[in-house]
Amino acid sequence: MATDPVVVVGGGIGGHAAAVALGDAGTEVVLLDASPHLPYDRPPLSKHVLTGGGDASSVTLTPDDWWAAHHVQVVTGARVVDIGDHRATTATGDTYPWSSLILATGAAPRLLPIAGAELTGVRCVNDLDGALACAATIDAVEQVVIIGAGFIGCEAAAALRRVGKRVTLVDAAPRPLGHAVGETIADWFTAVHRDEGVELRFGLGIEAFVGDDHVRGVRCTSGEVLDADLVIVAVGVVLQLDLARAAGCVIDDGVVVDPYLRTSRDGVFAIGDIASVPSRFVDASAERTPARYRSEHYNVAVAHGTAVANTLLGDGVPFDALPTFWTDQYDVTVNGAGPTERADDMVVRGSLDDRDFLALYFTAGRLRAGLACGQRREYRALRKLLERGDLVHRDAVADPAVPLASL
Amino acid sequence: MAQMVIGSIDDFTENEPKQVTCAIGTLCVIRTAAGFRVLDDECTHETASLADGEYYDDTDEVECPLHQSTFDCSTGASNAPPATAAVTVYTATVSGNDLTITT
Repeated sequence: MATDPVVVVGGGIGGHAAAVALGDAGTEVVLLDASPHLPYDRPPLSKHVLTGGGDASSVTLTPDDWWAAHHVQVVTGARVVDIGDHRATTATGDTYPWSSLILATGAAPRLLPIAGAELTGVRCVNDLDGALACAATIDAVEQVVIIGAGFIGCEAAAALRRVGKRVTLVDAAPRPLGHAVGETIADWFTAVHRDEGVELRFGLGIEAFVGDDHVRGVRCTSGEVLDADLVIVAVGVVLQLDLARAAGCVIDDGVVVDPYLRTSRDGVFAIGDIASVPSRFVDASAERTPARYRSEHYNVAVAHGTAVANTLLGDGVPFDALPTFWTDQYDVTVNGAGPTERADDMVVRGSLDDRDFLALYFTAGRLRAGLACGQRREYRALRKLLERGDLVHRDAVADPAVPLASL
Repeated sequence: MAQMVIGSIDDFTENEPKQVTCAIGTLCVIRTAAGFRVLDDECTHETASLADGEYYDDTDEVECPLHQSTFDCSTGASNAPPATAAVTVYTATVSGNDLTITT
């Protein structure tokens, strides 16, 4: 009896990586994605795509003919509503039997359920159609208000300044990037955006979008109205856990998986944003022992996709990749490794003003993560330290005269 | 298979990647203690010149200057995301002062 295919639900970068690795190895794969597009690369969306610098084909990850040549059936527009009975069932009633199933459902942009949210010109750039819709009218836009100063909001602000738009960046928090990078580095990002001419409005809530049929402004809780002919909503994401939940998978802050990315349901794997994975790179907490980590970053999803494919191909090893990420804003690229958002202390080596620094993050005195702008060799030494798992204390690395490579 | 001279070995400093443009495109050339490494210069992730990145002789890898993907200099394989696709590598030979690649 022929084996049923591996079904991948979700065509983001994690699902894509899994499907490519399996297809490359000759495994029959069906990739089901709700998007109307072939799997595409998302990082460019909040950058040049939203300003008209790239069309759909510029972000397509893998061309049609590759999929066909590798026995991977990519079904676009396929929203999976059930995975029970070893079959994935779509909203339109199509069914795809599976031998193994990989949940790579990712996250959807959080919407703001406030007055005026339906006005044209109120956009999200988390998916390709949203970014292309921004691009389609970008020439007529003069003033943009971005709601939410996370990575996507900050990157969008940079892209829009680059094409000469007036940009106001609004967040209810006192500084950008939430808890992701700590106050010192968040303030450094604030200065980068201020220097580039972004109007920064922190500590400001919003209560409505105003306009006729098209958005004309954003009304704040202070009563002030910020003019806008384009509004980008970037207030975080909502994990897509419904399928996992309905299938009976154990869930904490994501789908609980073992080191082989197996959920509690036989034959069902979870990867990418939704996967809560055992990790030695974070500390255990009262809620989570042993320690687990969930990341919404690209590199982690790619590593999950490759790892789950290896497991299905019989070459699996326990997942153990150091989580890494990056952000590109203007000419600044910042790379990160480890759980910066969980740190309780931080030391900067190098110069923030010169945009040439390494920020080291500590949890309970132990080196756990870092961010680098420049400093490539030291950043590599940091990654190697973290990967080795050495217990490195703050005092050992606080002095910038001591190269990390010497430790 | 064709041979193509792409430069003089004196043009290169050990362990410092350098960009070379020739008839087949833009290459990243690295002079190492173990011989020359020649790869396509553009990262397979985004638009970046690997010759602007670092070469690490302990692992024989070149690292993209943007997002720190690393590529094995003998096989071209990506060893770290975000890049997943390999870069093309070329066999390099030295005769006299000429650095020659096989294409």
